[in-house]
Amino acid sequence: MSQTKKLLTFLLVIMLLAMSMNVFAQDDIMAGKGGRLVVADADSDTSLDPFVTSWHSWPHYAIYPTLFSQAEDLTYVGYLADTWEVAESGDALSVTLIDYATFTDGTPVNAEAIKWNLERQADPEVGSPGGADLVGLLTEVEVIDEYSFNIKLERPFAPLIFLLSGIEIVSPTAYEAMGPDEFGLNPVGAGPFIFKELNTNNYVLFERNPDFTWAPEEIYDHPGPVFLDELQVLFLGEEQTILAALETGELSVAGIPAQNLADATANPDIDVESQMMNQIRYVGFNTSKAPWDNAELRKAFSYATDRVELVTLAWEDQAVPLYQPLPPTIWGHNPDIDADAPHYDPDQAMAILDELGYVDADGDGMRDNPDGTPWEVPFTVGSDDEWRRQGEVLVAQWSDIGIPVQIELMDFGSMLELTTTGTHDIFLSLYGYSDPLILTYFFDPDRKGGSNRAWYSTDELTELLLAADSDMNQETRYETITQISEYLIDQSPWVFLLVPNTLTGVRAELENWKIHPADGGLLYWNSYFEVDS
Amino acid sequence: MKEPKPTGQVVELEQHRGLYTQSIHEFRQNRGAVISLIVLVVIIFSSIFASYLTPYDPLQRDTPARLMGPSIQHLMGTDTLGRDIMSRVLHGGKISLQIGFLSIFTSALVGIPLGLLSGYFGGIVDNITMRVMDVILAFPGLVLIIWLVAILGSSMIMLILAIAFFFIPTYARLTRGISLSLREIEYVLAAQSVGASTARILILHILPNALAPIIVITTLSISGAIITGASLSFLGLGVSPPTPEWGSMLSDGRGYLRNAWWMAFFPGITITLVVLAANIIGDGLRDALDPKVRK
Amino acid sequence: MNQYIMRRVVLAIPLILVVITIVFLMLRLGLPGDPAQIMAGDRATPELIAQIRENLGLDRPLFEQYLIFLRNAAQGDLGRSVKFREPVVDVIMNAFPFTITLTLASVIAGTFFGILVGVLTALKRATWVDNFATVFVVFFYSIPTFWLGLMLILIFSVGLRILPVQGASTPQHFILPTINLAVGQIALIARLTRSGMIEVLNADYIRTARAKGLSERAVITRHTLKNVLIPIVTVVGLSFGGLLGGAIITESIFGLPGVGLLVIDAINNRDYPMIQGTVLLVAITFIFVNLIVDILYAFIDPRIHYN
Repeated sequence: MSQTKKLLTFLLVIMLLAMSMNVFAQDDIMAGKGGRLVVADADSDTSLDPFVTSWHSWPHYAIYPTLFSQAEDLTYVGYLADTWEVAESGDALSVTLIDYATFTDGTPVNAEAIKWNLERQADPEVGSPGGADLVGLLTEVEVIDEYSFNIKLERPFAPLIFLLSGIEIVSPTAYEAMGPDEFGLNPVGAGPFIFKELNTNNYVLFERNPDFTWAPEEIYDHPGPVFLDELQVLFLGEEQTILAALETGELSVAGIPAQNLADATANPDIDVESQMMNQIRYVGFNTSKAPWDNAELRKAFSYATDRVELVTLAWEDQAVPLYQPLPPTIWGHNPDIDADAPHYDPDQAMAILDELGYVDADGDGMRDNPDGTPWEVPFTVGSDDEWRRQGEVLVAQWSDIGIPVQIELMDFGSMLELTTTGTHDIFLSLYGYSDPLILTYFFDPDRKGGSNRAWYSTDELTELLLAADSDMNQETRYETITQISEYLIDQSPWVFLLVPNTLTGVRAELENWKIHPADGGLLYWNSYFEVDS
Repeated sequence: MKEPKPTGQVVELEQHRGLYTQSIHEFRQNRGAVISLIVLVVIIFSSIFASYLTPYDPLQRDTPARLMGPSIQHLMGTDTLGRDIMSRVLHGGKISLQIGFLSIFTSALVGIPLGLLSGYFGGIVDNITMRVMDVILAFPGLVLIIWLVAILGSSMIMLILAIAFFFIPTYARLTRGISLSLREIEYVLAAQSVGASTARILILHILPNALAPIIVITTLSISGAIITGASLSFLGLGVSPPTPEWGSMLSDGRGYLRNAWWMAFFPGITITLVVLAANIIGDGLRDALDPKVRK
Repeated sequence: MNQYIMRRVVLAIPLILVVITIVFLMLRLGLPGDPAQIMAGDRATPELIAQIRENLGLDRPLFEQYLIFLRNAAQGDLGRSVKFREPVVDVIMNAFPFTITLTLASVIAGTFFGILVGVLTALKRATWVDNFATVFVVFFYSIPTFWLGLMLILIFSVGLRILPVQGASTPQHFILPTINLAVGQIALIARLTRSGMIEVLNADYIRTARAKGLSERAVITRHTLKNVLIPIVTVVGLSFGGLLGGAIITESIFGLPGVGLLVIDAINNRDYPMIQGTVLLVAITFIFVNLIVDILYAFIDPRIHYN
């Protein structure tokens, strides 16, 4: 053989050896690991098309990747994005993607694909709830080369990375081939799992994506493929059934109802972890309707609310009292401002009410309007157990100081509708989010009759919100957000109640899992059951 | 005083007055029925005089005493807010008993004549009436309730009427079936030939034979009515929390089955007692009123 | 009789139309809650909600929506679920087998054991057997369905581990849900049977039959059941129809993906096409079942005829 040939052969052999070693190494890691993760989530019973659904859960995260991901320390790391740079002006972002990600239909996850996705989300005629923020904000996605592009915005937008971390990327080829209606029934993404089977109302089943190797390394030691063979999401809603199914092993992971925490913890087959959620519960006032336009009156309610007791009675102590608009699990929360916020002080509440003229004129034990007519306080509460429990406690507390509250139970759809009419009084609600941007939705002057259920906005607040959303400097943004929080505490369009905990029960047989400190979700891409190889 | 004449399987009621006093006498002989009547009366009176029977305010919460099992201080335990369950059961009885009895009786009042007439006349009358019943049966009750609450607001009367509405087809179809099978028999034909009015025929000849199954359905449906009442309340119709009511107490206890079973147990057992008592009384009534039954 | 059946079948169509139309109107007029709003979520702008309404076809004039709905329905297309974007017909047809299995099992079990207990208690009237059985049966009837269901799960699934908690993939999955539903049926049928039989057992002609020397068994079976059956058949028909519309609580507790859960979900989401689809299903069911019951009446009691 000639020298060259020998060299080539040698190289070939080395290459083959290296590849096979890689394969062995791969097999080694995967050996003995597998199994099917079975979870229960009634909310997952929704369309799998990211342009249709406003609720994203297990199934979406399993099959679709995003550009960025939130790490455990609340910062954002790259998922599909490899390197990126935010322009100083804050209205442009340049991104270079990793070059080895592929959709499960074989097409590459490249700049064109991202462009297609972002533009579709931003298209007002598509009407994608998830892309709501991009509409009118995204001006252009400029493709530089195969794996890099620039995003140009209408104005500086501080939470851009956060926003992009929630935009799920689908295969444009597949979407265009199948059309929107069919795609939701046969979705194609580039995530750790491949869609296998959907039985609406019953369950959805996924299997491991063998090509997936791009899990964010800051979050996962092993970048992929996942160890689990399959993921099954059952659409179960009944709390007690879910608990029982976890105990028998029919479920691998489940939420534990607060009142059953002791049982679950004592159970040797189940590991339980508690984690604060990125959600809050609050009471909202319709500030467009008298007398709820009076900030002092609203604050009286805040003083009248014993959040500590509420947490015990309605949440079995599995929640934390809240005194400001943002929970500790959302960046922007400032622990220093709690001290000056209204805490439980019934005397103060009574003093304010007396001063405003709400005294008991007719001697029936309940306060009346300043003009002497009976005071009516309709309290709109949702019909589910959780709402009723909280509602009853609040009514008891407020009645103690003479506020004649009347609960009006309503199913969720009716309640939503009612708050858009501006004829409601006070209501109980929640939000769950990962960025202070959420406050803009609730106090936006243009969203009264929409998500601004308190019908509250002032020029000063709007200015602050806009400033926060466009401030690219973390430190100054944080300060502005603190100002916003203090403003909202002072004006009290909401009474902030609590931050619930999520209790996750996991079968002891599942190895190598963690709970994400930011949203309480399960990090399971490196998890596995021990199986015989 | 004439004795009623049982013939074949159909009964003629000839003298009402005689039967009436005789029935009361026979009912009193029935020990089980009397006991049940006493139990029912006790429950009813306890509800009416609830405030005197228990030192606790059904709405008063007591956080340190929450979720405690039955004890001397709290015979039926306490709930998630520390409220005394016995006092809530007693006070709740007022509303739940009204819901249970009034809705079912209203339903019977409307459904039975409908069914009797429908089966008796047959033909188009029967067809139309029964098709209307089909529509009611097919109708999604929840949608109707949400709609009603939005348009008419909520109140106890609406709640009772709404529940009654959904039980009407049961009474109508039940009575109609029997009416259909009896309209050809000799007694009815005979009565018709002498010109007896429709009402007379229906009440004297046909209704007595439908009485037995009607009593069964009525006594059993009371629990269904109470529980339906709770579901409707959650949609905004009827009673709102924190007013106690057996049905909603049951729902509150649903998530606490394992660790606070008494929350759902006591209202549940009370409903059972009421239904059981009603059933036994019903049996007694039927035995007493129905001369076909041998004493 | 055949003429009667034909008339009923033909009548069914305008009837279903009436039900569907009432529901259609009710959903869009006055029912609070807007599917587009619910779908759009919390961050929606009014423009987005309007766009979703347009995409769903809800912004067109009412009459036009109605005609489109009818035209499609006549071709077997009930539209797409607002929530799932899946054809309503497919979703319902996937859920229906579970519901019908559960319905058949519980009605058959309930009726069978109900009649058994009913006959027994009628024959042994006023003895301890009767008293005990009555209390037993009524007791289980009044236990709230969810309580019984959760108890069954705690005992048989979590405790004894002999039956699964939830799901519908094997026949064993249907055992507990069937028991849950049959219990109520048994009480109803048993009490009806008992009361009917007591009446008839004492009537003159029975005494005559006994005098003639027929065996007790023959007397019972030939003469009494016929007359007891009419109320029973009525009630079984009503239960059957009701269960085919979905046993919501039982399905929820046992994770049985049947029509009941679909209905609740649809109403909560104001998923108009899905609500209309399930109403259509229930309407057809009741019309059909009640027709069967009416035919059975004529079989049981030849005196019955429909003019």
